[in-house]
Amino acid sequence: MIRFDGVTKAFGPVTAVDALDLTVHDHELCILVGPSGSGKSTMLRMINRLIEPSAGAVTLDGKDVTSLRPETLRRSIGYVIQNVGLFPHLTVAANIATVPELLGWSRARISGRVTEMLQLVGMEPSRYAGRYPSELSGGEAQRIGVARALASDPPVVLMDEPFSAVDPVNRLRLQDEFLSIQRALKKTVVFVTHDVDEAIRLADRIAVVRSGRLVQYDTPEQILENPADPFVAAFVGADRALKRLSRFLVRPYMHPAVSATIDADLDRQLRTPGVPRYLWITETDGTLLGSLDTTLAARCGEARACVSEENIHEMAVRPDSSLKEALSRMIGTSARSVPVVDERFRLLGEISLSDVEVASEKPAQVPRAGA
Amino acid sequence: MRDRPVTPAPAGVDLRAVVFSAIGILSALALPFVRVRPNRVADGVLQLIVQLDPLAAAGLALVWLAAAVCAVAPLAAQVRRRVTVAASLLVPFLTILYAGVVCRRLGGHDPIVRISLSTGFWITMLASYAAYVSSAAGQPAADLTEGHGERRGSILLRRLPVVAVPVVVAGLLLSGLLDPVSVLRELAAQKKVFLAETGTHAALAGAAVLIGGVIGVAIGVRALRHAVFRRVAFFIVNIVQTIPSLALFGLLILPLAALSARFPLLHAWGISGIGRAPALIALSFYAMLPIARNTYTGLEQIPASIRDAGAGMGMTRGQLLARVEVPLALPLILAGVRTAAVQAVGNTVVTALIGAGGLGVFIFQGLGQFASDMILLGTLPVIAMAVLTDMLMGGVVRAVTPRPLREPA
Repeated sequence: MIRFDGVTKAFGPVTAVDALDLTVHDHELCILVGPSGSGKSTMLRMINRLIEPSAGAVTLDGKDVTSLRPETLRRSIGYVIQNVGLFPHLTVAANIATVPELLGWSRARISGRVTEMLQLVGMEPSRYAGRYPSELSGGEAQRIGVARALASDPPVVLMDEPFSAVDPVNRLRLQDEFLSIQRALKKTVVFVTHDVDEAIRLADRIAVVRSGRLVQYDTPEQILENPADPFVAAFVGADRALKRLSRFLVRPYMHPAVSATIDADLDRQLRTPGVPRYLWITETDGTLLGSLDTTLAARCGEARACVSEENIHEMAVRPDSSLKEALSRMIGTSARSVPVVDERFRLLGEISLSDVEVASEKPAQVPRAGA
Repeated sequence: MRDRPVTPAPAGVDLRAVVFSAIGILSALALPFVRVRPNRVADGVLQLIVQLDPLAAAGLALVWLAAAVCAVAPLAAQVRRRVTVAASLLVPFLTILYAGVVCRRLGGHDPIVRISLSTGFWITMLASYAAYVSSAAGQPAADLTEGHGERRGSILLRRLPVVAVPVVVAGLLLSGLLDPVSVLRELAAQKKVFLAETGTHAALAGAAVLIGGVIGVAIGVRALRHAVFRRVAFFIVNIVQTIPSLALFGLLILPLAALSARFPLLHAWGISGIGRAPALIALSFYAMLPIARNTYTGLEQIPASIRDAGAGMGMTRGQLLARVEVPLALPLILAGVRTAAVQAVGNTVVTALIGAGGLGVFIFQGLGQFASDMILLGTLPVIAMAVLTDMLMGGVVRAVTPRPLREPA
């Protein structure tokens, strides 16, 4: 547990952090978010004493951080920064080995750990261990940065805008990978970003910071639903209702689809009274083929010819997609309902606009997307 | 490897080779090869090769002519290049060999006779070097990438003189063929003193670089952490750098003499107003600046994020310096040492004036006595020492540069 107790930091006449009280719970991913210059990086750097507070105390598991030698303290805390800060004259393996070496681990233990870490971040050890940072892409370098921070298995990890310098596509990938690592390792993470979407995507708890003060500290759902003041409301954006949907998964809201199999029996099925207007059409093995407007089918000579296949790939979502994505696909394809498919594109069910409405009216504290 | 065409197309006239060959022929036939003096201070007589040995002159001219003919004839570039390279290597070899023969014949019997190599010799050497560079080293990079075998061969060819020239020169010196050459006569007369002064010179310059290096690196490291210190230190070192060395020696005489008079222990150590102490102090000062400046620049250019990462992972200041900052700055620091060392070799010449010894002794004695051979006896080893230092330090810089930071060869 990390606690800030009345922590203030002044740089000359400028107060960067003003009487901060904040508790980061164990195994939680806490994101400090705020505009640039709001003091969030200063807060982070006071945890590992790269900056010393002017007043108040930061405690780690009940112990004042200033009671430890800064080096001892820092070796027990993982640290990832925006510009990665890999040592250009050392190989990837030597970079990852930095903290274990400082801790005096045996050579065998270090090399085993390096291999483990490379696998953890999804990089083939035999290919990457001997490379130099200049031979890595931006995304690869940042993965090594994460591997290096986790190498000594520290209980606490500090991350200062770790994915900001990466292009948007890779940033999403890195965020997903980091989330799955975090779900497995359950570190206590303090993460600084100015990107609200990133905070909402990743955080267990968000601390919104403004001018060195903590404005609101709560779960992403609560912050989106009940912003504490107009600043938070403006900062999370006018689309906060939509952002909130990104925290919900399709799976609990989907329901069985009304569908028909494309076989000799199709025409007979369509003639049965009470058939719904729209039907999902699948192959005999369940693979989604398209949709069918049954009122038009009467005018077609053969029902098979009337199956619309054109938009089907833009419509389909997966059970672990977010409701935000489902809604986006509904709007994009002008459909009130979209199919839910598995990885082999077999129809699992459907989700409709009314399901999304149900979810958006639900209170916070529901399982978040990807959890 | 790409297939090479079976019959390479002939190239046009290689004008450069023609010009160099013409210069070579001219210097072999029409320029004085040696100057013979009956003793060290007497006026000399100039001799052409043609006068000494018409056959030798004709031989040299023929080699040049062959290169010129090949440069004009419709031959493949490959063939032509080989002929030019062969000629440009053969000519200096023959010329030096012949110089030895002439020296022995004209002066071998009489230890007073002084022979100096004259314009004909030097222009011949220059022309063959120019021909060599224009044919082997000067060929475009596209030629070099034709294939691995070709590339390796060409690199070898380019590095050949670096190895071959010192070997040939050393061989000739040891063989005694060149003994009557005036500089070597001078050397023979002063061998003991020469060796002692060369040792003193190297020791003075080396010690100065060592002291200047230790202090310079310390200044550079400290300048990085303290802005005020940086401004003061670089202000002082820059000022000292602008003081001419002789003036600096003068400035040091009074305080050192006073110190020496005041403290007998210092006097016993040999510290006084003139001699090695002020020389070493001044030389160390001069060596300090490039090293201090490069150390500071090398450390300062390390991105803040790298330092932040190191500190944030729990490195102490010492560990950060030893594991990260110094390895990253080392190539630049050693480049500073390289500059300082080459400068020190040259600066040490002047210290002979205040009685510190070194090769400057010969230069200033030679100047005083109007004996050009003696000046050369001091100058040539200084040049050789500076060039060797530069090459050696260049190799060291390359060796310590971490692989990913190296520029491609």
